[in-house]
Amino acid sequence: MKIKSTYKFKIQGMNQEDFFNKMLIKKINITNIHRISHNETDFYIEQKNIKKTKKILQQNNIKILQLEPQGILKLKSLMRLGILIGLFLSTLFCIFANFFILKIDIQGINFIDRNEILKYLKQEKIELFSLKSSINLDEIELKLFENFNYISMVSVAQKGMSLIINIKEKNLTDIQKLMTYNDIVSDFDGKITNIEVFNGQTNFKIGDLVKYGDVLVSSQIVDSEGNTKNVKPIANITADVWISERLNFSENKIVQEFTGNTQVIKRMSIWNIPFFVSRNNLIIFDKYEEEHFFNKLKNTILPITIETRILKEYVEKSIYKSFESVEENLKKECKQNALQKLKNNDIIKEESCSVVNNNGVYSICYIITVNRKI
Amino acid sequence: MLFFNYFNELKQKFKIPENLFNTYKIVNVGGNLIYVEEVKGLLILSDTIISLKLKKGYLEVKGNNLKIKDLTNTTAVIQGKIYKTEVF
Repeated sequence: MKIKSTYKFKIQGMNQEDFFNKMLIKKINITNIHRISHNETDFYIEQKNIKKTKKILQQNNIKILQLEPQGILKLKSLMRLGILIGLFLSTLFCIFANFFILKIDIQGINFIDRNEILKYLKQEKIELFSLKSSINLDEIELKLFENFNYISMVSVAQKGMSLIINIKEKNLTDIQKLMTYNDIVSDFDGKITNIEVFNGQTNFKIGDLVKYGDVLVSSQIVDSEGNTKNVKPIANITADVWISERLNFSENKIVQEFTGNTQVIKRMSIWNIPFFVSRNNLIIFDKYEEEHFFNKLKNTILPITIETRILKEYVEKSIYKSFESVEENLKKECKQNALQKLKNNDIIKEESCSVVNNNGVYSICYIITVNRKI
Repeated sequence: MLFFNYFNELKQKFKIPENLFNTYKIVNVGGNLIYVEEVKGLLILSDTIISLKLKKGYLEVKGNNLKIKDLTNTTAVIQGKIYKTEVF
């Protein structure tokens, strides 16, 4: 589609050459002149020359058969209206968008997490599509400075639709002073096979046994001047970790068996004041299980509540099952449970299973020894 | 629309003497297109013959499906199957 507008003329008449010569004298450029028949011709001219052309055609008694706009003017009026509405709406959107923040640009951060700042700004109700007028730049500057320890200087500015936060962080030594590091703590029971400490302090050596919760490498060190410093503990530790799983089995089991005898007691009340109890003379079972239901009636004016208690009688029976019949299955189950505790890249060194009998109660313990890099 | 003058550019580029351009200035491109300068008027217009008045003489182009692609007060471009071009 040509943007430049031209008009196509289809004319009918005699001595058209004279007409074209007059057009040349008037310095009107003509394109695509095509003689269709002995008295019909079509040609194209620019929009600005339409009036002059029409005048010359009239002077030469030449009839205009067709006058058709080309380029963007060729579009139908509805389409043109659509384009105009589109342009109007996009202009309106541009003006409207100018009232909002469409971009938050944070510059000059190395140590501070960008998301942390964005999260903080969100708390302060500053995010994308926030109203520009609702943002107090000085206040944000102050709050950012107060809430982030690593900031030494901060400036907040609005430029167009962007909110630009320029941060100057404190120097590295200051940040290191502010940073606190945690100790490397054991999350396993085992035996250390290799320990190399690059940063920090340890009390363990190769062959030492460690328990869950022991501090393997401390982040607190004492420098040559006797001052305690907090450093990032870095160490290369490998240990034989014992992963154990225990299952208990009793040969004599007591199970509950319901007799089928039940008692249902219903109690109706208004505002917790009972006005009807279904049964007062209860046959109390020796052993029973109780179920309790509350039901509030909806279609009544008064708030009537129906409370239902169901008592189910049961007897206890003792069942004997020999350990030998289930031993293999229990060992397998115990092993599976232990294997599920392994981490990726653990190398299994040893596996062992022990069974302890204590008056008919058997305790199965499955231990897997793995070599793990901590 | 044409915004260039082919022969003026030719003169400047190759430093051709002025007297060589005293007569007609016509370029025929493969018998399909003719570019003419120093046009002074249109004499005959049909799809088989187009005749133009030049500054010095006349040009008559014979062919088939002829049409004037562009016509300004100094230049013209004729397009179509051109069989014969006469200048007199």
